[in-house]
Amino acid sequence: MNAGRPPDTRLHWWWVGVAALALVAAIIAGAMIGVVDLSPMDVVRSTLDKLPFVNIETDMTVREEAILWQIRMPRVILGVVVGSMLSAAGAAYQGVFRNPLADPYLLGAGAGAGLGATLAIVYGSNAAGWIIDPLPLAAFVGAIVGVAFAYLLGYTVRSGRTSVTLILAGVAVAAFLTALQTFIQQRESETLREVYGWILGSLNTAGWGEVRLAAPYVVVSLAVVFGGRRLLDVLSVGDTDASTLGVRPGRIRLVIVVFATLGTAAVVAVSGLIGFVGIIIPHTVRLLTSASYRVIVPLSILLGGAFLVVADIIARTAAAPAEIPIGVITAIIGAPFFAIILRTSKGVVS
Amino acid sequence: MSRVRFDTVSVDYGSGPVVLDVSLDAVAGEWLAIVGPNGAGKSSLLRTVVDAVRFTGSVMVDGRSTTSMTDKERAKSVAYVSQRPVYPEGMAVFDYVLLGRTPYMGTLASESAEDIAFVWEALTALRLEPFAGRNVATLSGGETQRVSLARVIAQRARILVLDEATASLDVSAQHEVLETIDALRVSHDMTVISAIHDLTAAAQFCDSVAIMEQGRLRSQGSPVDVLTEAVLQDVFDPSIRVLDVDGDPVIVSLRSEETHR
Repeated sequence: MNAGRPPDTRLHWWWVGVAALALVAAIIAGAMIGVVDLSPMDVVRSTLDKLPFVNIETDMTVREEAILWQIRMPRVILGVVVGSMLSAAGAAYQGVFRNPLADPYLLGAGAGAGLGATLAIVYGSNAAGWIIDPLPLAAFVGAIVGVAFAYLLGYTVRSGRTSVTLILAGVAVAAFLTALQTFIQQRESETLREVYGWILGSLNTAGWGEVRLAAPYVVVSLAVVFGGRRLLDVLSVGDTDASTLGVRPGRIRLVIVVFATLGTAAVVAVSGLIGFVGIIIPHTVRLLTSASYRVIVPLSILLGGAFLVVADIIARTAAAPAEIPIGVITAIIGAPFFAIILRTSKGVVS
Repeated sequence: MSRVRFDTVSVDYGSGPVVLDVSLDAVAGEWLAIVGPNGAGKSSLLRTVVDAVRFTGSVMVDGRSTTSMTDKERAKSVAYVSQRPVYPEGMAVFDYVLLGRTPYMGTLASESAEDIAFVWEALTALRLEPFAGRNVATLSGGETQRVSLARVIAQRARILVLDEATASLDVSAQHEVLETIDALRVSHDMTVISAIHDLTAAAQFCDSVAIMEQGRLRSQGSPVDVLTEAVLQDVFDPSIRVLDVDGDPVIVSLRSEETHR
């Protein structure tokens, strides 16, 4: 009789299937569309040809092969990596802080990365002898330092360590770091355009190097958030109740934030501060499917990647040959889309 | 035989003690009520059992100090329902009850078939099967209390700590929930410790009553011995009257002659 879960509480295979199909379709579209259009069959055949033990002839010219594998694919894959990470981190932050407005930049990761990047652009650009590119490193370190400061501040509050004091600490740290960043940016106004462009976010520097840089952190981070999806449900009843169920809410929050921040810092380092993805993707999933993080986390990973690849297609083609910052696109198409979901859905935003 | 023993328990949040030197026993299989005015320290005392506040003294569960248990061990023996439980928006009743299985799952593990069977059993015990897929936030007050109790049953804890679990319910819903708790206490061999404001209900449902006043234990004993007019007038208000209705004490507060015309 009552063998399993009630239907309304399952992670349905067709939800995963639809999300995975959307991701694959977005990847193929991202690889096809551009100044030189490639056919979908060529994209698929050429991709299969790359697999071990598979050998498929394609009609593509050498130049088309180069466009696909040296320009389009690294950018598309980076879009998947960045979009998945920001969506999963957004879901994780919303879960551990029990706050629907939480996004990956909540605790100062965005402001810290912004300050780091500004410092690198302003003071690092004339140092030609750098062994490594200082910009991603500075952004990565800045993001982690920002969150570390917020955590230290939040955990030394005497009146009690709650998730709310942590959020307030993050607000204070973010405001301080943003003020420093603005100060430096205004003093060195000849780099204003470059700094501003970085802050709006873009995938236009993407090569396989960027993918290799970010992917290891993202894979580890996604694994931890995915592994903790059931614990995010436990935290949703509040810290006191969760602790009476035998878990340590403070410890779970710390581990999830550390790993979500690590992944966020890595993608921010290679793509700048792409906004909005971390809020709308988890909420769209929540409104359309289930409020359980067992459903939200995996679907956000798949759909976040798909969404950012589509946004990037528009960013690089809508005003070609110029590029629109991808952060502008995520908000311009994301906000109305989210508004429609919000109005028509029966679900609830927790 | 005592299931829970408080031994000189004190709680201090930093601005003076809210619980002071309370020593108290909850007998196996019985229902112990903690009564007293607002701010008497009832909630803080209950929270010591689940290690949710810092305290001095010791709380023994089945002869073991709660502070020597791991979080999971403690959660397997003691379940707790707070004054205002959070029912997350959009969470299904089934998933909420499944949270009771948390202490039995590995950190990264998912629920087993056994966990799911326990959840269905708990839902059946509380007549909640038709609600399994419903959004817990859309249920009525009495129904959500039953959902909380189902979570407790799924948790398989033998000790149930309730902090004013029925305070927000209307008279009939409160009565129904208290009857349900009592039935579960018998059927699942549980010891219940509950803070309760309704003194008449405490007299009707509980085996033993402890009165707290300004953090201290005033007295403990059977309801008829403890809930006397003299004590209640002293602890609560001189307007308290204890009436006798068919042998049961009914405790009410009457308006004074001057204000009541």
